[in-house]
Amino acid sequence: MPEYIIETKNLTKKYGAQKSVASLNIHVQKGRIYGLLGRNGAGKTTTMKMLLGLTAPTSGEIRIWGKSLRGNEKKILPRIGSLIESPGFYPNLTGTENLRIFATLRGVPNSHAIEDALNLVGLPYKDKKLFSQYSLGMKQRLAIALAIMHDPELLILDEPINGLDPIGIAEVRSFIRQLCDERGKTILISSHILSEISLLADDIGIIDHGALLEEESLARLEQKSNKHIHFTLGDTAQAARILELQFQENQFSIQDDHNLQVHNLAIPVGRMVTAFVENGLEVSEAHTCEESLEDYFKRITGGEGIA
Amino acid sequence: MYMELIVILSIAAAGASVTGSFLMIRRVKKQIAEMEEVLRDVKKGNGNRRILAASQELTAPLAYEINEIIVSYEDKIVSLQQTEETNKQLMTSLSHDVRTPLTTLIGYLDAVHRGVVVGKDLEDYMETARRKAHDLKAYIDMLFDWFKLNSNEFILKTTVVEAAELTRNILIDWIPIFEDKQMEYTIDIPEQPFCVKLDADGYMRVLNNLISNVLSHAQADKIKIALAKQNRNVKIFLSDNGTGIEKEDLKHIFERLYKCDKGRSEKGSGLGLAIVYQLVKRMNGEVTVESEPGKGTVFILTFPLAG
Amino acid sequence: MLRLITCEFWKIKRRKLFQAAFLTTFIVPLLYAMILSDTDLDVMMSVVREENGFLILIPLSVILAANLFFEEHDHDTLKNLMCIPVSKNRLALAKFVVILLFDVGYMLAGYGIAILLTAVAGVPLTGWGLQLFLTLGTGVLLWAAAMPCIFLVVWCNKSYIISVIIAFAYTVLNYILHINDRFIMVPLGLNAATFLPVPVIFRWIYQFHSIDGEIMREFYHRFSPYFISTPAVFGILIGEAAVFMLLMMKVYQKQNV
Repeated sequence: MPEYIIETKNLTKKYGAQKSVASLNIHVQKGRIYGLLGRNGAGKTTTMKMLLGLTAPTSGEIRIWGKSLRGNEKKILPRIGSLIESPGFYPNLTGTENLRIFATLRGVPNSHAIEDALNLVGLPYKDKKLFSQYSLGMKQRLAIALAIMHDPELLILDEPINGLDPIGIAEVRSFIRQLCDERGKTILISSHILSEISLLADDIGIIDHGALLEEESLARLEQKSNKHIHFTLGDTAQAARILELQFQENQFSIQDDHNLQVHNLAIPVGRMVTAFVENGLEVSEAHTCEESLEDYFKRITGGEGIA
Repeated sequence: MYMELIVILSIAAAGASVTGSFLMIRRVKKQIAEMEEVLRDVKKGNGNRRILAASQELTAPLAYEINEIIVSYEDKIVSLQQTEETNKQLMTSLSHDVRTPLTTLIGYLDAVHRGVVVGKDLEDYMETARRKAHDLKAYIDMLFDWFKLNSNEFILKTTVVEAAELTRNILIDWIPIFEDKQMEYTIDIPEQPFCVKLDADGYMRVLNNLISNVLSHAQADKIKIALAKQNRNVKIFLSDNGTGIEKEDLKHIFERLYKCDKGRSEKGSGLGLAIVYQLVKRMNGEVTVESEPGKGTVFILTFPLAG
Repeated sequence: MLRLITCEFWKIKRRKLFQAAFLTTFIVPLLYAMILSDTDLDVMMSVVREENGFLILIPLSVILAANLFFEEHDHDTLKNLMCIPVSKNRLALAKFVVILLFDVGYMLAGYGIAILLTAVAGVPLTGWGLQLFLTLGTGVLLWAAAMPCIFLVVWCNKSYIISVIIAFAYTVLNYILHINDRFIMVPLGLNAATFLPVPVIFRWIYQFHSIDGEIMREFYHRFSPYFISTPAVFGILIGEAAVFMLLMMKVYQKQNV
């Protein structure tokens, strides 16, 4: 029985009549990276806000470390590091001064926590630059520094690579991976960029219009995304007959007179080709096709793809 | 008037200090309770907990020390686990890699003992058995070298050598073998001297390992060894036009026991490249590999120029 | 709590508004000293307390308080604070304390400059102790007096301009009414005169004025039945302030992250 750090039961948030999050049941396992994938406006940020107690849910339960969030905030929140929406800091203070405020209010695990955090994200320590003068990338880095400064066991990051340049993205990606692999931290990230999530997450939750469409490990999702064998032959009708009679196979679809797709991968391709050829069928092409994760995502959200 | 003022002020001051102390004691009590809770959790095995304290608080130094202890023990546990894992791998590998040749060796000797073979065959069998015994010894020697390298017991005698001349000398011995195996070879070493701090024996082993790797695994018919200067380093390129290495494997190729052909039928212990890696590193150099499956592979050694 | 207050002070670093605001404490005493030559400590102090305090400190307190209360919302830092976790109520209290400290400091600085000017003018520093006590007390009372207005501003939650307008309207209202005889010469009870802060403060302070001239003596005499005692004034004003602070904390709590 896997240990769930975050578990929600029918988590719902209504704004008036509109359901921004509908009966969400997510399960974030310990020591793994959970990617919440969804288009803009799907409900990712609202969900994360509820997990942190920033927004009160309309109904449903949130359990973190097995305890209900409501009433236990003082015990639970200090163990979580978070980054929600855009970076929020005081513009008249420098990066270090900003972090010092939060370090004083929350506490830090050692005397050089601020310096370490800034080094890790590549920002200067005790620098004179005020937050108002920071570029977007620097602001995002400072937000990340704030999230990790107190060495939390759980990280909840809302689109952490937002605003970073490609090098920054790669750095953050490897750094998040490292936190999980080497230090055993649990991480929940949200993104609308499928490629990023698939590079980083161990488990994926696909959310659309507030509902969790699917929650699966990345490995299993990649399997699920429809693998099939595509044949280009002389006569698909005959091929269909052969498949049914000889292999008792009916999990296939005929596209046209020459193109046929077999969805069951249990039968070795070689045997099918041999059977076709023996029956006088010309096989001009046979290859295994994989629906990409992106196509899969498009398919189950029934939309045009990722915004 | 003034008397009253002084009395009032004194009472106020006294009241303030009493309240102040009371509040401080309460705060410290709360923090001690927090520490207890964290330590209890750590005792249960959750080494990721941290005690948070603002740097100016009374309990801060204590909290920071405790955190550092937790972190260092966590790190030790993680590295011990890793070592245990790799040692396990080594053990299984070892038993397998020794058992197979030994079994075949025994097979040959048993056959001889039973008198199954006579005459020329007998001589051949003995010769094969002898060779296999030597191979086994060579393997075990390499294994011990690897262990020594890993535990820093291997002593390198680094002196300033002339890399071009050294490389040429090593390659001279290989030329007959290249011709024997019908391997087309190109040696591109400039006339000018390159002074590098190397252990001559170590360097020879590196080149020998790499070349024999190409000969036994690459399935190539062309091999090229080139030497060139780049900035303050000298680079040695060893390229072949063989089957190449998949991108996935490239990442792990220098790990010990890693073999690209997953079947263990081939000769080779998987240690060859790992030893190359360690030796090069100990000589302050760097080894990288680039490959295109189907086209070929290039191993690149980089050493800093002396002086 | 102490850490929250410390952090509030760190947050106002480099903010020109607060720096400038504090400097205004010096304007009125200096102006007064330059225009009128016959300063005596008591008069100087009353200027500090009444003109400076009623007219300048109250709107200033309101504007600064509004600034502090909207700070987290303007810079989107509330979510970070909530995740620590920091309770909104304690955050609001910390801000109240900052304003209190500012007000008391302001009055103290005013006292300081007045003493200086009086000493320079060669006037004897009579009763400086009483004056100190009165000034500090007024600082606290003015803080309490500003509370209803601060609540109004935080509740309305509109632009800064509206806040400034409200602040000045409140100040002017209070000031006009405190010089209105009919308004201040009313016994304590459940009437408008009791709940309007500045007239109440005036009714407490005036009893300590040294009388100078016939007109003043006559006025003092007429006014004396309506003086308010020290415990009463603190009681009323702090009580009123407490009510408004609670209301404000409720409003602040409701505001969205």
